[in-house]
Amino acid sequence: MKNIIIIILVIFSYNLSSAEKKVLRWAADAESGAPFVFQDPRLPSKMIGFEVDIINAIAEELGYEQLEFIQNSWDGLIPGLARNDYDLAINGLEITPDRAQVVNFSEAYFITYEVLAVRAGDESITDLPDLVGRKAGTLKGSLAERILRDVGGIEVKTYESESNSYADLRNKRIDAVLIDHPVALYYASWNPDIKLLDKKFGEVIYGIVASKERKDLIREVNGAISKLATTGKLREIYDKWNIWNDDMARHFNDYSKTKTDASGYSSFIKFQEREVTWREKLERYLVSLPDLGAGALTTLYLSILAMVLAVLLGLILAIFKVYGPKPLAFIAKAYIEIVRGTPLLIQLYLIYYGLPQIGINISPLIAGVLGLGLNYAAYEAENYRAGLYSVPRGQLEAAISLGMSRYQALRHVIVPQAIRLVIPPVTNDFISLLKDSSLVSVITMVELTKEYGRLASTYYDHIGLGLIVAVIYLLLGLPFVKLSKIVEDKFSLNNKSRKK
Amino acid sequence: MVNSLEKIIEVKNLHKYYGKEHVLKGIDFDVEPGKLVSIIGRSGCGKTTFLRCLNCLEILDQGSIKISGISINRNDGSLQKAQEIAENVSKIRTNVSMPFQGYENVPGIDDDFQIKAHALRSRVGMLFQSFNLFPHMNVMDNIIIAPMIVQKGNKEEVRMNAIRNLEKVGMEKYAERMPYELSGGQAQRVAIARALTLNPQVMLYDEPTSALDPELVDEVAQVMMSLNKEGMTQIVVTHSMHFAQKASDLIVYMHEGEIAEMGTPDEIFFQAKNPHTRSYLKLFVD
Repeated sequence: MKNIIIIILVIFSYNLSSAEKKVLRWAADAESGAPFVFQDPRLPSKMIGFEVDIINAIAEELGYEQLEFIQNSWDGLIPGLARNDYDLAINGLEITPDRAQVVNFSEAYFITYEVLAVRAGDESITDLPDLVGRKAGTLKGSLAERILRDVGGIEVKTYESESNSYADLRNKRIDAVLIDHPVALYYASWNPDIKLLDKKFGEVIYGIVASKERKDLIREVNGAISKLATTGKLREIYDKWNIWNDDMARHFNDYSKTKTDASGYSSFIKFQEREVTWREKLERYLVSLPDLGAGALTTLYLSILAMVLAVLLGLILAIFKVYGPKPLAFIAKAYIEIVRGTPLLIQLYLIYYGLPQIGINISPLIAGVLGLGLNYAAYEAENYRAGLYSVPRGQLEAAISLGMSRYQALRHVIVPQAIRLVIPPVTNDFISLLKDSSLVSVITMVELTKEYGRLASTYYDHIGLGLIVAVIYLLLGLPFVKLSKIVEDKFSLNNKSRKK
Repeated sequence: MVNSLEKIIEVKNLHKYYGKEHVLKGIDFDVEPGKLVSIIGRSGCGKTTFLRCLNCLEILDQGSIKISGISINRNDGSLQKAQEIAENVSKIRTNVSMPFQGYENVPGIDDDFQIKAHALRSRVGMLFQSFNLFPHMNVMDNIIIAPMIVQKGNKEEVRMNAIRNLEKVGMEKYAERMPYELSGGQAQRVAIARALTLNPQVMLYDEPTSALDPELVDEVAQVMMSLNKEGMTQIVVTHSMHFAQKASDLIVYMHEGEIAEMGTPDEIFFQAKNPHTRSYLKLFVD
C-alpha cells in the first residue's frame, strides 16, 4: 500500500521546478488582500503587495535565483510549513508565544497597531468602552479579536475577509470594525461612508516564519532584514505602500523623512476610490477570466478524479456491506458511518497535514482527490445499496439457479440493474461535489472559489464576480447532467430492442 | 442410461427451520426419472420451501438430498442443534443475501458442500412464479448468458442450442424482444427455454402459472406436458388442481411440513385416504 502511495506521489509530484536553480518557496494567502499580498487589479495573475516586495528583496539579498509562490489558506500557512510545502510564510503572521512553539519566527519586519472604524457621522463611538452592548467586527483569530473580547460586553463578530467586515459596517449589521492599520488604510480610509478613529490600540508585530528545523534559514532571513533596513531598501518598500509609522521608526531607528513616492498605495486607492463604470467593470471581469478559468479547470479535474474514486470505492463498499461476510460488512458499515458523520474539512486537514506526521507526504492534488473521493464514496455506497436493494430477490435466485457464482450474478444481473436506478442520485452528488471541492483551498489548492475570493478582495467586488463564478459552476455541472441523461437512457429498459 | 426403476431424486429425513419455526419436518421423497410430480397443499404447508431446498436456494438444516447422482447431506448433530444454528443464521440474513451468506461459520457448510450445491444446481432447472427474466437483456441474451459465462460455451453453439429450446417452447420468433414486451405466458415459456439451455436432468417449478391470466395458463401447461413426453423429470408446486389432475403422473399432498399423502391423480382426487387431503380438495369442488 505504501509503495503505491509513493508511486502516485512520484507521478504527481507537485514540485516540478528544476533542481539545479536555487529556489525559495514562499507562501501567503492572496485572499487576505492589500497591502500584504494581493493580485494586481490590472493583471490578476501577478501578485503584488509590500510582503511580495520584502520577500523579493530578501531573496535577492540571499542569492536565490528563483522565487516560487504557493497559495495557501491563511489558516493553513503554519501547518504547511511542517509539511515542507514551502520554505517561508509571510502574510501578516503576528509573533505570538503559541505560534513560536511550533515555528521559527524571524525578527520583526513590520510593526503596526489596531484602528477602529465606525460609520461616518456616528459620533457615539470614540473608544472601545463605547462598544459595550454593541456589535464590533474583526478578522478571525487576530490580536484585534482578543482586544475586543478583553473589553467584555462587546458582541464580537469575526470575518474571514476584511472587505466583508467593512461591508457589514456600512450595512449597519455591526457598529465598528477593529483591524490592523494597513488594512483599514487600504480598505476603509478612502470610503466616504467610513470614518477611522485616530486612537491606536495594541501593538502588532509581524514576523516571517519557517519550520522548526530551518533555524539556519531564519538566521539568514534576519541578516537580510537588518541589511535591508541599513541600506534603506526596507524603508523604500514601506514608503511605497504608505505604511511607515512611528513604531517602525523606533524599531529600525530611522527617523528620516519620507523620500519615496507612495506609488503602490496611490495606485491602489485610485483604483478603489472612484465610481467604477460598467465598462470598466466588464473589463475587470474580462481580465479576471483567465484566472477564473484556471480555477475552474482545477475544480473540474479535481472533482472528476474524486468522483471516479468515489464511484468505484462506493460500489465496493456497498457490495461488502450487502453481500460481504460479517467482518467485511462490518468494516464497510463502520467506514460509511464514520466518514459520513464527520466533516469533510477535518478529513482534508487530517489527510494533508496529519498523514505527514506518520511519514506519508502526499501532494495537494492527491490529498484533495483522496479527501473528496473517500468522503463521497460513503455517500455513493449508500446510493448503490439502495439500488441493490431495489433489484427484486428473484433476480438473484434466477441467476444462482442458472449456475452463476455470486460474483457472476452481481456482475451480470444485479449491478447492471442497480446502476440504472442509481444514476440520478449519483449525478446529484457529483454536482454537490463540484461545489464542495472549494474546501481544498485549505490545502494550498487554488480552485474556482478560492480564485473568486482572491479576485473579490482585490476588486472589492463580491457581487459581480460572485454572479460570474456562480454561472461558471452552473456551466461546469450542466455537461454532467446531460451525460447522466445519456447514460440513463442507455441503461433504461425501453430503447434496447428498437436499437438492435 | 438410467434404469427406470432407479430413483433420480432421493430425499431422506429433510428438515428445515425458519428461525424457530419448523417448516419441513422430516420429508422422505423419491422420484423415478421422467415423472411429472405435482405438489399441492394449503398455503404455508412448506411445499415451496421443499422445492427450494431441492435446488439449494434454501439450505437444508438436517437430512439428505440426492439428485442425479449428486448428494448433499447434513446429518451432524441433533435436531435441536440444527434448529439453533438455523435461528442464528436467520438473524444475519437479509432479503438480498446470497444463498450461503450467513453460513460462513456453520459446521458442515464447507467448501465441499458449496461445490456440491453448485453442481446440483447445474443439473436442476428452476422456474419461478414471477418468471424472473433479466429485464435488462433481450430474450436471446437471457437464454445464452448462463451458458456463455458459466460453461464458457462457444457462442454459435450456444445460440443454436438456444434457438432449439425457444422452438421447443414456441418462442423462436421472439428472440430479439425485451422481457417487458412479452405476455406472462410468453415470459414463462422463455424462462423454461432458459432453464433448458443448461441441459438439466430435473426441472422444478414454483407455481409456474399462478401469476398468469387464465387464458395463458394452458400454453405453459402444454410446454410442460410435452417435456413430460420427452422424458424430463419435473416437480411442480401448484395451486391449479386442473393442471395437477390433467398433467401429473403423481401428486403429493403436503400438510404442515410433512407429506400427508402421495398417489396418482385418480387416487388423490377420488380415493384420498387422509382427511386433510379430502378437506383441502373439497375447496375446489363447485
